[in-house]
Amino acid sequence: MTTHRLHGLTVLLVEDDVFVSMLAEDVLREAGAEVLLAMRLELGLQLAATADLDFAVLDVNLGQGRTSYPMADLLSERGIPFFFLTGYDGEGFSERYSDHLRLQKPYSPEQLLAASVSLNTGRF
Amino acid sequence: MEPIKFLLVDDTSANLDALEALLARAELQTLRATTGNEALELLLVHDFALALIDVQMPGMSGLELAELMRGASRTRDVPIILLTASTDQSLTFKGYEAGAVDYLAKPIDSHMLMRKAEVFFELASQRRELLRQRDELEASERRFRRALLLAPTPMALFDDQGNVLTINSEWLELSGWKAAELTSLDGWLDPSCATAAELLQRFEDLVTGKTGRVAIECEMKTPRGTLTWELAADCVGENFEGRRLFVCIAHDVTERTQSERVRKMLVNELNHRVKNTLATVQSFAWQTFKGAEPAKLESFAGRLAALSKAHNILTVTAWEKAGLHKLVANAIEAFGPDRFEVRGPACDVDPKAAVTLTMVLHELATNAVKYGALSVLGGKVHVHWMAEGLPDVTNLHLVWEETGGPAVTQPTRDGFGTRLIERQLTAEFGGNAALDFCETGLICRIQLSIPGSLSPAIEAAWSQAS
Repeated sequence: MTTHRLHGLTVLLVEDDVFVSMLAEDVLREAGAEVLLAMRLELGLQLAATADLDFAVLDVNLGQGRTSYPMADLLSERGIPFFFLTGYDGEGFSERYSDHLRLQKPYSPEQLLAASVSLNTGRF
Repeated sequence: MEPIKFLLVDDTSANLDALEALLARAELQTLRATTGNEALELLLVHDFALALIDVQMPGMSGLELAELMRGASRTRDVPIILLTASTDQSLTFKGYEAGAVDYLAKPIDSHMLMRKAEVFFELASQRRELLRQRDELEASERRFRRALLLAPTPMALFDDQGNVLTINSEWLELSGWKAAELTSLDGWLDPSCATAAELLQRFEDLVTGKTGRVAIECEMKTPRGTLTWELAADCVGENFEGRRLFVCIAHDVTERTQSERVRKMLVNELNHRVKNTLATVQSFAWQTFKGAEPAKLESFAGRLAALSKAHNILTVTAWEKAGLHKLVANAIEAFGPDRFEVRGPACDVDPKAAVTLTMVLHELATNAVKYGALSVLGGKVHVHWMAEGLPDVTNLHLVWEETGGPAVTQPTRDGFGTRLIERQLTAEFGGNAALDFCETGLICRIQLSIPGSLSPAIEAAWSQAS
């Protein structure tokens, strides 16, 4: 984990769980990325629409029936790559993104890195 | 059954006697009148199939009687045959004008009389039979509607025009609707049901004979709130007017549907929380041990991931069972599935066994990556099993065999994996499990008794094989 495989990249991390977000943030940061963390929908939407991003990692379920699909739509429009983090398959993944890359929780730091790198191959 | 009645009117008793004698037959009742007034009184009380009236009578003549009969609605349709000794043609004409259907000259030709009377008797008995059948049909329909009204289940009767003919109190009480609001199928469904168009089409297909019995679930807005009913409708025959009738029986499944919805939501919520909790535990471990012992942290994370994967298969079946093929594929996914050769019959295992077996396979695979066949290029792992179904239990024989790896030596100390396989596994499920540190590669043999019988497919395969 000491290699800086994401060096110089800016990532939007959307995760509403305090502890789970700590792990993801640490892993991405240690890999050299600059992490913009959004734990709530409003900030997530704002960053997805305006921030200068290389890629994004989106937890699907943001609690109280809210999802990160609106952010995914914004990112798609801007051509910014992203992948999802999900609790489990039965949550009813949106059909729009049924073929989209997603990691199931709990994911290993290695899986998170591998998925992040796969979105950014060709940038280095 | 009421007999058929003829009215005989003549002022001479001897003539009446003669007529009675000629006409006498079973199911025919003749009533006598010697004057027009007597005849009128009888006509008020009885329904006659024929009136035989003598024209020449003192007081009210037969013609006058016939005219009076034509004038009253009650007697207008009684057929009249006039009897007369006169051969006067103008009298005959008057008779027809008064409404007689026929004429007989005295002295009466007995054959002629009997033949004519026979025609009216037959007509009357046919009409009587038709009425009887109609009464019977009406009564039967009334009985059916009564049964429907008394039924402790919501029931409605409708016809092929979609008119609701009868609706029982159970239906009205459960829904809170008034019968007047439910006079037609579309009048009922259109305002209350979002899927009314589809439902009405199904009823239409039933009514036109395109399909048979309709069984459909529908959600309706009623004065008692939103209800979910299972509707079953089918043709129950024709009514006395020849119109086809349909009965619709409803089964209120509102509560069942709601609790199913709540159950699903709770299971989803539970699955979600279990996953988040595992992710949280992983995050804690990361925060706590990161940097200190990276190898141990990685081993811990791997175990947590394996456990989570076992949960994934189980959430799909609502924690009922897991298919062994799916379970094995899941467990070896992270270790390069192309290095494995997996073979065995389709077989379900219960949740407990699924979690334990997943962890066992994870430990074996982790060990193989570190020290065994997966630590070198070209090494392979064979996982194969047999399942034997007994009435309440499935005996599973599973073998993990490594080949092409480095020479194997017996480990010096029992780790978590060894303990799990050799002790916990057998303690939990009976049977036995052994690790054979064979020089050519590790072999792990596991025999388990898993509660529950085999799925039918395996049963068949097994009985074919043996």
